[in-house]
Amino acid sequence: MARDLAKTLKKRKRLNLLDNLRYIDLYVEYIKKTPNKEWSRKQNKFINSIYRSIPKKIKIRS
Amino acid sequence: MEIKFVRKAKSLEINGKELNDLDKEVINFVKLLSCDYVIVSGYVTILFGRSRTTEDVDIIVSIKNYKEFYKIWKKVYAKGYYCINEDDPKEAYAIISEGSSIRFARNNKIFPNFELKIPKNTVELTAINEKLKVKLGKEKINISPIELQIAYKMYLGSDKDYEDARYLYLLLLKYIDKDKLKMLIRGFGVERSAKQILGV
Repeated sequence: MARDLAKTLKKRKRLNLLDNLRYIDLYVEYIKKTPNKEWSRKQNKFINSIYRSIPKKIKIRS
Repeated sequence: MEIKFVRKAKSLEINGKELNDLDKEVINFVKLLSCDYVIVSGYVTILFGRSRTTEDVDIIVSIKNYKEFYKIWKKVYAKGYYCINEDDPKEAYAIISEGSSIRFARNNKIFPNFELKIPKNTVELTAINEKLKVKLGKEKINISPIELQIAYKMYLGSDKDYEDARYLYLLLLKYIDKDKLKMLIRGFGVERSAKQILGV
């Protein structure tokens, strides 16, 4: 059973990578045909939202 | 995406890109490096438009001695960054000079952080010696050669690395030196996965 599960998960992992690579192809197509100003504005919204949501104060060492 | 690539000058321009918070942070930080440097790994794909984030920005720095290191340390601290690994510059230099990396972040923050490493092998030395200058309006940063970046990502071999490698390969196909890429792929011993992921 454990071997079957490992086999299934390995297959699933492989399919997941292939799906992601297909998405990359589509995203590259979009970036290639879109002016820098336009794609970067959209990228900014995503990236800035992540970095701006980081808590203001984090202490990693005392 | 509009890119102006000048092979002879080893430079590339991405005009009109609206800089995001990470781009600005990277530009601010590399200005403090009074030594030769090159940015490698994940941030490079973000620079070229991938919508993903990264905790750390990997930078190879050509620091030759403690004096050079301390000069950078002082500048970095004066501009509101701190070293995550170590408070003592001598200890931090001991870490970096033996081949490990040290990380700097904005005071009271952990990420994004800048992971600095001194070149210790042929790959890292090649990255710094053959760096590509990227112009972003008035700003400029150094990144590793695209062919090396792609081959190295293939070598690292996680799904995320494969995605980054394919992204850079497809996006920058017309600027890539294919012979150089194939040579690097052979050098890293990743011919089989490169065939599957990149088709080269």
